[in-house]
This record gives sequence, C-alpha cells and structure tokens, in this order.
Amino acid sequence: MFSSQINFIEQLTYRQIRTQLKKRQLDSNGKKPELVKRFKRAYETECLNQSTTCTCFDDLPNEIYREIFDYLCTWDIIHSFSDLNHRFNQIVKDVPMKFKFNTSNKTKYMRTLKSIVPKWIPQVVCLDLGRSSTVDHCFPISFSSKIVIDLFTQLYSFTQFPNLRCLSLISPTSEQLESLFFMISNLSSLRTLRLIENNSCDSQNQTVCKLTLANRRPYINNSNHKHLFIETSPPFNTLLLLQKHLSTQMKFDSIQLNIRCGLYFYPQALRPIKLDSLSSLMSNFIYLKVDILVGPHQAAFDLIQRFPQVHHLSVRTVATSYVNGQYWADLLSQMPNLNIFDFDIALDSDNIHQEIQTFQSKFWLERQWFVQYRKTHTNSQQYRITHRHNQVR
Amino acid sequence: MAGNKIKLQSNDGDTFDVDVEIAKQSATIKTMLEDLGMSEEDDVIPLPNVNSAILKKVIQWATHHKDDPPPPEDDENREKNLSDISSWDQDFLKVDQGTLFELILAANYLDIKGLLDVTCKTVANMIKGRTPEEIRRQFNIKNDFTPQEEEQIKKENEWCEEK
Repeated sequence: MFSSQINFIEQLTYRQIRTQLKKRQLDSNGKKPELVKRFKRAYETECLNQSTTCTCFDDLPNEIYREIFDYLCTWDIIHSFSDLNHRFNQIVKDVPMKFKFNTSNKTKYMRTLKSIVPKWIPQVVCLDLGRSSTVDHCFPISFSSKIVIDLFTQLYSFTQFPNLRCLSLISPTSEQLESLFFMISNLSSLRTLRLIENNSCDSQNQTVCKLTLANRRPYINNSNHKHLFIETSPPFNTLLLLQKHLSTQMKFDSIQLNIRCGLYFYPQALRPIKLDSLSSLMSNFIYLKVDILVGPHQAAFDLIQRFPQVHHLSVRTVATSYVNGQYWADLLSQMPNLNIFDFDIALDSDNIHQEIQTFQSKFWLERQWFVQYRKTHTNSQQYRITHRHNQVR
Repeated sequence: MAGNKIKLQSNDGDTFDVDVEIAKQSATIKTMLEDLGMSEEDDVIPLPNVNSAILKKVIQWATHHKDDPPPPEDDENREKNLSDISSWDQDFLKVDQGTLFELILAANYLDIKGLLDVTCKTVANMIKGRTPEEIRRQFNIKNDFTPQEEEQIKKENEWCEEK
C-alpha cells in the first residue's frame, strides 16, 4: 500500500503535493519521514517545472530586454527584433542605439547612412566612425577612415543627434578635428569623445592618441559633470590641436591624462605643448596616468613635474630605474593635492628587499602609504609593487 | 534568530536560513536590513516575487560568489563582453529557459547586479546572430503582424539581409 502511495506522488500536481505534505506532516504513521522526503523531492521538481511552464521570454519586462540588448550590437538588435511582433517593434524604437561604422563596403555604408540612420536619429547615443589602420591597409585608400568620416559629415552634422553621448573618431584628419572642435560646445549631451590616431610609422595598429570626456571616475560624484580623458603618446598632435581649439570651446569639470610612451625615444616630446595656454582645461586637472615602457626615470619625472596639481597619479613601468623611494619622495612632496598614488612596476625578485627598503623612509610611513606585492607569473620571478594611499580617510 | 543569519521566505511559504553577508549581495535585502530598520531579530524577510525553487538557486549563486569583488559600475563607454562567463556560472545556468527567465526576474527584483548581468549575458548569447524567425522559434514569440505589416517591415529591413 505504501509503495503505491509513492508511485502516486509522481503524478501529483504542485498544489496536490503541498496539500499532501501538510496532511502527512500531521499524520504520524511511522513511515512519515521517508514519505515526506519523497514528497518534498517531487514538490521541488514540480516547482521547477511550474516555473518552466509559466515564464517565457515574452513575460520579461521591457527593462530586462534593455539589459539584454546592452550586450548586443545595434545591428543585431535591429536585425533580430524589428519584425518579431508589435511589442518588440516598439521596444526597439525606445532602445538607445550605438552605431559603429567600420564597414569596408562603400555602397552598403552609403545606403545605411541614407536609409537607416534617419530612422534612429533621436535614439543614437553613440557613434563610432572610421576604421583602424590594420583594416585600412586591406582596402583601397579611396575608402579610408577619412572617407568614412567625410561621408558621414557630408550627410549629417553631429548636432543633429540630440542624445549623442559618446563620439568616437578613428584616424581623424586635422581638418575633421578642427570642424569638430568648432561645434563641440553645441553637443550638449556629449560626455565622451574618443579620438584615436593610428600611428603611420608603426606597422601595428597602435593607438597614439585617444581623448575621452569620461564621466565615470570613481572620485566623481556628479555624473552630469563633463570630464576630459586624454590618452596620448608622442608626438601629441591631438593634444596640440586640443590646446589650439578646445580650450576656448568647452569647459571641463575634471581632466584625466593618460600618457603612453617610451620616454627613452621622446624625452622632449611634451615640451612644445604650452600648458599655460591650456589653463582653462587644466585648472581642474586631477588625474595623471603614465605608462612608461622604457627610458630613464628623469624624463618621466620632468613630465610629471609639469602637473603638480593632480589628485591622483598612476605610473606603470617595467624599467627598474624607477624603483627608488627617495626619488619618488622628492617628486611627490611637490604635489600638494595628491592623495592617491598607484605605482605599478615589475621587479626582479632577487633585489626586491633592498629596493623596497627605499620606500620605508619617514616620508612613506607618515603618509601611511602601503606596498602590495603580487607575483604575476610563477616562473617569471617578477613581482609587482603598488603604492596606494591608505583608503581609510 | 541565530547569530549572523537571516530567514528568507519564498512566495510559497518556504524559509531559508542565509548568512547575512551572503543575503546582502541583494541590494533589496540590504536596504531592508539597513535602511528600513529591519534587524536580524525580525522573524523572516518575505520575498513575494520569488518561489522556493528559484530562491534556492539564487542562494546557491550568492553563496558561490560571496567573496567576489563588487561588480564594476555600468559604463556606457565600455563595450560589454559576451564571452566572460565563468565556467561555474556556465554550469549553473545550464537550466531550461523558464528557470533562466525566472532567475533574471528574481535577480532584478532582489537587485543582485552580478546575477542579473550573467543571466542577461546568457540570453544575449542565445540571441546573437539569429534571424527574427530563429528568435521567434527559439523563444516561442507570437507574430501578431498582419501580412501587409510584415511585408512593409521586411522591405524596410532588407538591408539587414546583406549584413
């Protein structure tokens, strides 16, 4: 009789199992624990099955679709969801669009510009125009990044996109940059501007200048502020152009400058840039990040000394000449606003103790800056040191 | 209530003892405990939008990820990566569609960003590169267009076919 009861459990519905469970827990017949256990297992399976049969893709709220669409490119969203049904048609019409134009097919590009873009203008939040030099080399010069940007700007002005928050131009020419800088103050929604120059002297597709108005730094409380993020390498052409035009066109709440370079080759590269003329840009300059591949420390120190007002300094290098706590103490003591210093360097483990001792002077101890060692690869015998201001403020 | 544990109650009446720190991965529960003045002495925290089978899975996920660093803030400039799902999460999310969608709804209701991210990413992977017809079949989406509307939309989107 008990065996037939157990077989019966498998046939019960969710509601019946719940009723049976309640009933059995009240009914003491000596075999309750085994039966209840079996009921519970059937109950969990039934719960899972019930959720399976009840919840479909269609049941998700629109906010979830937006989360999912965030992982898909604009083309996938339009292509896959535009003609599913009325509901999805409407959702797609409300989704922020991020257009990336890096096609090699000029005919298709023109057709997209003429027939697709007009339908989505109010929804466009990001525009990415141009192709990397690696891609350019594979195609005729007649359809270079310059052409991609020119064709776009012949049909549209960036000011036509009222919700444009991020604009990215790859390998823009000086003329294209100048026309952009002239209109930039009219792009009221713009928060991020990325300017990427491909280094023609380098066979690799190296980014030599990237400029972004970044609004997500952790120490920025107000996300509506405009923040300038510049990632640059010698010879700093875009920074020079920025100095010429942008300082009079737009104000920033804070500025982040990333410099990526081998200062060994370009020790004087920043000299032509007159920081004084960037004063309106630099008055709230708070973050400096320097990635130094090779070169003597003095060249980097000369560079950093030009930005004494920064709040956050981040330096990454593999050159051991930088590992001297006394040199750094002398430099940092001239930076009164500094409260975060990230120093990331790969070290040979054989000399680590001697080198670390130079960071244990009164200067470092007073500020409670600490050192983290991180062994990056088991076999490389290299350590990484990070100095960071004590986060308890 | 024992030490640093709280009781979570699903919408079908089951209760689960959970470490407070694990439960606080849910911003909803964290708010209940911290801002609304609920304490560990309160009997149970009712979760009316989550059934017990799903709550059990959510707790399993939160327990595994209890030592994870907080997920990065959303950044509209950052391209979201579809492929960085850990192998544990991939195994955890080898469930039927209904359970996956229930997990999304639970993660959204409980405000567990990490779980919401990984479940949405999983669904995005199921969608990427599919034609509307494949999507309709995969998710059983009804086509409520009239033949005329459908013809019109296809005409408008024919550029997609050459993508």
